[in-house]
Amino acid sequence: MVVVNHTIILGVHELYIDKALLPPRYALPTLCVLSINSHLITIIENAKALLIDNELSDVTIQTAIPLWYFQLTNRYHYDIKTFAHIGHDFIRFSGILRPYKEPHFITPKIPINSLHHAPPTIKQIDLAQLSIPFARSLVKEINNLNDQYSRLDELYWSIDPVVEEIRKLDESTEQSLSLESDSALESLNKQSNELDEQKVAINTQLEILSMRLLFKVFGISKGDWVSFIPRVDHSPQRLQFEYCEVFENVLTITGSGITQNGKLGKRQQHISIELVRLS
Amino acid sequence: MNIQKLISAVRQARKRRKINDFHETPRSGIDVSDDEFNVTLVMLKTLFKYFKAQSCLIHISFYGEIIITLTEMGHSFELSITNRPHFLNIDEYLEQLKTAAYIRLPSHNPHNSMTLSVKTIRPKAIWKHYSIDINNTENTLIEQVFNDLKTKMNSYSNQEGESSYAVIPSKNDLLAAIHFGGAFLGTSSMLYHLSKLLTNRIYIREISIAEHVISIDGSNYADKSEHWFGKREAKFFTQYLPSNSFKQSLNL
Repeated sequence: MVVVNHTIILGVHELYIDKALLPPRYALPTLCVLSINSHLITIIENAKALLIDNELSDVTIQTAIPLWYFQLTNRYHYDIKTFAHIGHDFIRFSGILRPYKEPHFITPKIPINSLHHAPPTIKQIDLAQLSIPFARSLVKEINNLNDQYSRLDELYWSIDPVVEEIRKLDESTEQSLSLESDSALESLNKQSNELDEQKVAINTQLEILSMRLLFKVFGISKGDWVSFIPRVDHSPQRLQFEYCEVFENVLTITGSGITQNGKLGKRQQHISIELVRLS
Repeated sequence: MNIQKLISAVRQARKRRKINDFHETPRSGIDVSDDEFNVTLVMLKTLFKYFKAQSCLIHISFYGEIIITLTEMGHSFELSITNRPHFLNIDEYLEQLKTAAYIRLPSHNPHNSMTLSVKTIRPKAIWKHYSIDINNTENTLIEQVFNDLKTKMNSYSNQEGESSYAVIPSKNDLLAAIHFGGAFLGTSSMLYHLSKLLTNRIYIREISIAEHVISIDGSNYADKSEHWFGKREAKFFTQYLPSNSFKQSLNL
């Protein structure tokens, strides 16, 4: 028997996957009643590990945890197929009334860290963890990617002035210039676009790797409350992890700060972790 | 009818109750999850035994409604067992949800809310709910329910309103069958398109389903329409509507 800690009630919205598939309005649930118990927490934790390992943005699992309340009948209905959608920092539920094939209603997102009754525990970042072999290999991978990124970036900006002029020229002249030089200019323009695409791809990869590093090494993921004592001035920084990025071998975690009395503040704070290049 | 037959009638009617999901005025009865259904039937048996001993007549309708008549008083009531939230104010939650994405309740276990509900068959009668434990039926609770009903019925002076029970099939039963059929049979069925059409209609005065045709009568003369259906739909209707209803057209 799982112990129910408390309950959350969610509104329910219609989901317009297919306009033609509209059941009568009264055939929709009014409320979604969700009991937070250890079983649910385990499901979320497993899903989160899955997200990080497989570079996913959310996972969908069929579940029977939430109850759907219908105001029309003043009771819970059982013949509903329910799916839990779990992302890095949120969970939401969608459902299907029996004869339909596609989910046609959904709840809003609940931040995972607000599932717990108490404010989330603050996780400490311990830089010593970075010296374990697994962390070192990840750091190395990030460093390499970062180098690759810098090289691309350098190339991009060095051809940028030329490309910029070509584009201007392209707009101001109607007839093509001499054929050979025109195609050469064209290919330069193309290359600039390609470089831009590659930069975006590497950036995404960097984000995934740094998320993995933070999760596997420090055990933190999006939505967690994090604290960090920098080596330099020793004043602790506390924030809610919203996103992270790597630039020039520095991993920056950004999010709203946590105030002295343990509440979420308004100001954006940053935690910078230097990923030391390993020789 | 003996008690075993009544119980199997409830079991039989369960599959037809699917149309309740598309029903504007869903019919009462037993609505519990699959794994609780058998335990509930055991409890229902105890209830039926008690009511029989009090010389009541028990009737199970086509859609599994349980209607019990107290012969000495000449009044009837409906009985329903289902899982209801004992929330104090759903309306307040709905109001709060207009501005918030979710509400957190203090410790509360919504699972533990199996409810026995009774309602006398009178216009404007309301449901009365009793919390029960389906695994362990206490006779004292049944006695209390029965006495509450008797007290209430004592105040009724005449038979007026006994007809407030919606005869099967009602207009809403037929509409629910069309909507459910549309969802069940899919886009290739005419019911799907008819269901879509009817969702947009504000008022339907009369509807009847005969052997091959559905006749719909709107608010004025021009709104009258007939919709012919094939074998697939006919087979569906035999499953979810009482057979007499669409052999001969019914006036509601």
